[in-house]
Amino acid sequence: MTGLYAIAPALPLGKAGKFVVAAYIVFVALILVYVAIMAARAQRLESELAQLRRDVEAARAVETARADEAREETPAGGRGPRPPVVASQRDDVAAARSGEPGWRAGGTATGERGPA
Amino acid sequence: MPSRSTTYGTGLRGLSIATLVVIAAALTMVFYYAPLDADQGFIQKIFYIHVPLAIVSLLGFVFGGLMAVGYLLTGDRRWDMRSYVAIHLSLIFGIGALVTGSIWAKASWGHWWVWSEPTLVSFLIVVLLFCTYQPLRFSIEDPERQSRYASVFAIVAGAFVPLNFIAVRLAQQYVHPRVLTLTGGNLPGSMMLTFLVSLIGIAMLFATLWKYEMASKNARSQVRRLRRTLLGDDALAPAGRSAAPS
Repeated sequence: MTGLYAIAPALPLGKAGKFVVAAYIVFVALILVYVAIMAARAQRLESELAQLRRDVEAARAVETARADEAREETPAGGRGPRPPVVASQRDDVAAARSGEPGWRAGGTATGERGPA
Repeated sequence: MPSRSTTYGTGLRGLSIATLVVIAAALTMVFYYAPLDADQGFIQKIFYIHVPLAIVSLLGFVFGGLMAVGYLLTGDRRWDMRSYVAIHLSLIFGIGALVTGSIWAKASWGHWWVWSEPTLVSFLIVVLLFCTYQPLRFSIEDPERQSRYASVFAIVAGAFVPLNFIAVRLAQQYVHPRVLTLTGGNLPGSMMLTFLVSLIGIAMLFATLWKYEMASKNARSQVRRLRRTLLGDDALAPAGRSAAPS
């Protein structure tokens, strides 16, 4: 770094220097703005992916609930009352569909949060 | 769109690192290796950023036209996406060339813009022509028609770029100094080497950003397709009108 400072004054930064610096700053600024826009798009894509994951998990929960219901309705099955977790899954599905903030797969009707 | 997938992120990290190294080398050469111009002095250093930006921008427009030919031949919308990203990036590089050129003109000639200089004006015409590409796309709602019309535009405008360049060369007034010619030009060896490294650096930057944007658009498109496959068409929010290929 010291070596760089030692060489730098050798550049004839006079009246022309500010124009040269301005031209190179324009170049760097263009690239930075572009990268910033791309970063914002990447962030949006990430949130779309997270939303997709939540929707898929919610859809799976609905399928599981339906399968459980079908099993209960079968007389030969002879199963007991439906476990409360299924109802909570339904709530979660509804919450996920409505886009409720803070909803996470595995949550229950009482507001407890399951594993992320 | 056909189901076979393309990955644009492959090799992107290596290309990004190589681009960074070449651009760093180019900047070092510009300021510490290339000699000062006898006529213009230090201000001539703008040449090493302005000219590569202009050349890569013009080549990018032609590249966009060639990609558009691919779309019209195959009907595969990935070619349209490639064309769109190339033109979009070329416009950014073209604006960079215009601004750096304007700064150079002010320092060298005392004016931000010289309307009597054919090279400047012809480049501005090319950039303005391609500025209409995005509004054209946006004005067409149907994606298929949007891709087809935009491809025809990209081919015609892309063909206009070399014609415009040749016309300016044939009618030149020699106000803009000619340092690059088919016979080698009048740049000394060290300046030519620095210029070539800068040109390669800017071209690599174009390629890196092109791959970067293609990877991003491709990932978004795959997420949408995955959503449609897993959750059905109803789960897909309407994309709305957009200039970008979906």
